Amino acid sequence: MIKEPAICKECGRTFLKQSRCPKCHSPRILFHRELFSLNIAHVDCDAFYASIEKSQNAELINKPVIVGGGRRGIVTTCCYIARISGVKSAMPIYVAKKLCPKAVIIPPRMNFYREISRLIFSKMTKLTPLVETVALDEAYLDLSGTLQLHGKTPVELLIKLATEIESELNLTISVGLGENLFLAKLASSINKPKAFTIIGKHEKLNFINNLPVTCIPGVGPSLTKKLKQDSIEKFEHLIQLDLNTLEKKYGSYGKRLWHLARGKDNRTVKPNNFRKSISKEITFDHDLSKENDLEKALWILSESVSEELKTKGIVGKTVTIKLKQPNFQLSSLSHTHFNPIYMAEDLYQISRALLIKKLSSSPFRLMGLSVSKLLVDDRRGKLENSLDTIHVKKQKTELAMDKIRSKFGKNSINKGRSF
Amino acid sequence: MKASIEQTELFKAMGRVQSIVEKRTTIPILSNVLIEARDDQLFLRTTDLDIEVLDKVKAVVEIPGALTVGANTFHEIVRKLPDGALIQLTGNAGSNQLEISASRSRFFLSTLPKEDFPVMASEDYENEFVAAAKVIKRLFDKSKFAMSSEETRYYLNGVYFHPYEEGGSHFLRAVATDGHRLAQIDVDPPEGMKLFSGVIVPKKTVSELRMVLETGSDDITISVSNNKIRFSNHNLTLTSKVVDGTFPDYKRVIPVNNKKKMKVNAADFSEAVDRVSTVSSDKSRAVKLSLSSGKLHLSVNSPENGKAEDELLVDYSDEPLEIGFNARYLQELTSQVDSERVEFSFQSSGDPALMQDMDDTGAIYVVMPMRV
Repeated sequence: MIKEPAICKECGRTFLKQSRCPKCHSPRILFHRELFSLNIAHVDCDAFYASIEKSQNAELINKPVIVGGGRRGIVTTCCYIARISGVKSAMPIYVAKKLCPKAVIIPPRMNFYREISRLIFSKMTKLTPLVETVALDEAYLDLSGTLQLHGKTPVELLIKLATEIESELNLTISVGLGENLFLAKLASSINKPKAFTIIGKHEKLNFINNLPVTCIPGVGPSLTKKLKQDSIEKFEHLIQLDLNTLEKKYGSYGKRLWHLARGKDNRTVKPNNFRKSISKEITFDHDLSKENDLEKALWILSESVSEELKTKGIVGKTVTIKLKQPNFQLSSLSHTHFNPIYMAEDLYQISRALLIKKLSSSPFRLMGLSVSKLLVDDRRGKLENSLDTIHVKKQKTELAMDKIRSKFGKNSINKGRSF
Repeated sequence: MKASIEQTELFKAMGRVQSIVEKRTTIPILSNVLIEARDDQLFLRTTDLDIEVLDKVKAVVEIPGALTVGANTFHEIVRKLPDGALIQLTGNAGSNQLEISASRSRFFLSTLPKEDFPVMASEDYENEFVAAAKVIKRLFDKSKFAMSSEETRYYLNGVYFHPYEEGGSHFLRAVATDGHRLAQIDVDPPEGMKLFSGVIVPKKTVSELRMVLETGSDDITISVSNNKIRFSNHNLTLTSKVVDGTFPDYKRVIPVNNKKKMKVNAADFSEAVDRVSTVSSDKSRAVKLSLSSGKLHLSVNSPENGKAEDELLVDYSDEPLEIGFNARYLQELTSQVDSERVEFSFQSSGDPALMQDMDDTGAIYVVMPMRV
């Protein structure tokens, strides 16, 4: 029998399958018939926010850690120790506390996580320009052609990526490798954390046959229910149905299901997945109804949306505010500005005019602000030419504040309305 | 109330006063017109709480009285009655109805009591003066294109109307800007005008002003206070609140050192800009002007659509200059000009440009360049 190619997950040495690495003697061996012929990878960081917190504080390493919070917050991420007690993400904090009373609960530090994410993504974009961002901790990579470019196969580069991230950032990732996005994503979700799973062409049908249809990205509770009514619970049920039947029953998604059941997925990795909007939201600790309180929250949102626009060198035309009432009724209102904007002051003035129109339906439990119709236009530090001297003065104030903040920190200077 | 009036007169007056009535309003009485019959006249009054219009027409009043009725319906009825018919208006206080009859047509409209109609409080006007309609028309007509519509810059949503003094000369001045272009129009101070603090006349008032300027006598009485402005001729009175805000210090942005001067035929220039901007995309309407001795080269480069070029002979003798503008702004600017030739003056590609009508020194226009 022909021996399968193998790679050591510790040192990256490639060899023909044996129980230990011939170089470093590690037993962490990855072997597969198609080890060197698959190009599409899905990379997912393990318990990202919680792992970052652990990497920053050695005392947390053996404790259950939950990132989330606020008075009625939810679990954003929980570490694998917390998961043993049954804690899951998106679970209300009070439920998590009941399940795992010893858990250390840490409020999320999104800006810090974003920094770490940026480091990880910069490592990925060094491997290939074809990186599609799914979330801060998740991406698809198309590594075809890397052999010519780097002289290394995709699997070798991915192992190097995983070891680098672990040694430099003290974080682990799970990697899935397959012939398309669907199989890669599926692979990475198996054996988490710190896993490297391959689904090859020869085994894909065996692999997916026994899986429940809930594994399919996009199949949520309502579709699952509908599929169950038609006694489709696993892929093996799905594959028995022909294309016409599926299309009739589930519309265009039926066609996709038919393909997925056969391990086919024609999506490609889309890099520069240019964002359509930049948005932030706050869930208040207590429902807010006073104009002053809401305006303060709006200013905080305006500053943080503006900060992201500024760091990314993006401007936008449409400003939308989103408000959620205590009964979870959501309403939104938007305004499209003639000229693209990015400054916190402009965002605030526009969104405030929108907020005032909605004040009568207060109190609110959540407020969101987003900017869409985006254009790339790096105006950092540049004064917009304007004949409106009042507006120029406001711009100058904001530029000066940004300068001071970049030198002395974000909280070194604030406008009165943020107090 | 009982009065009779000639159809043509009433139709004209209703056409004027109903134009400020908001189509959608949450306060029902704001959809109504207040009709008062007294002293052989019919007084018609409408308001949107920011502007109030009062018109008067001759009528035969048998029983004086007042009531309010839906302005739109009333206007429509009057319009559909035969030209020149004698219309009889009879208010019935008991049934809250207004009967409108002319020859064999009869209409009954429900009314709301006159006491509920919000009449604008009278004001102590600190300054009152009389000016010719065409002078006031010039001030507002030539500046209004530059007003901003952005709600957030409420202080730019109107025309800044103020007296101005420079080197011993006095003017009455109107300025409007949206941050990208600015218009400054001067007229000689009307007789009897004292200094008053400037007011921002709101956008809607500026557009409704036409009804005062285009009807009745040539002379307009203007009354100004800190909160209100009133324009009236012998028939019609338009009273408006002013924008509660400070107009930016516009004098700082009007260039004084623009040495590079280009004289061009306004119509030729506007047409050339229009031609080349056909290829520009919606997103950026930038047109590049490249000036060299005696020649203006216009070009538009749109990554999606392609390129366009045009050339004009101009009066220019300074060093070569390249500068970009929004095509729409340039066209709007040149359409303000009455004479054949205009003069543009520039400093550099990043500084605002000045445009002047060569036969009218009382009007100057400023436009911001854009990167091309």
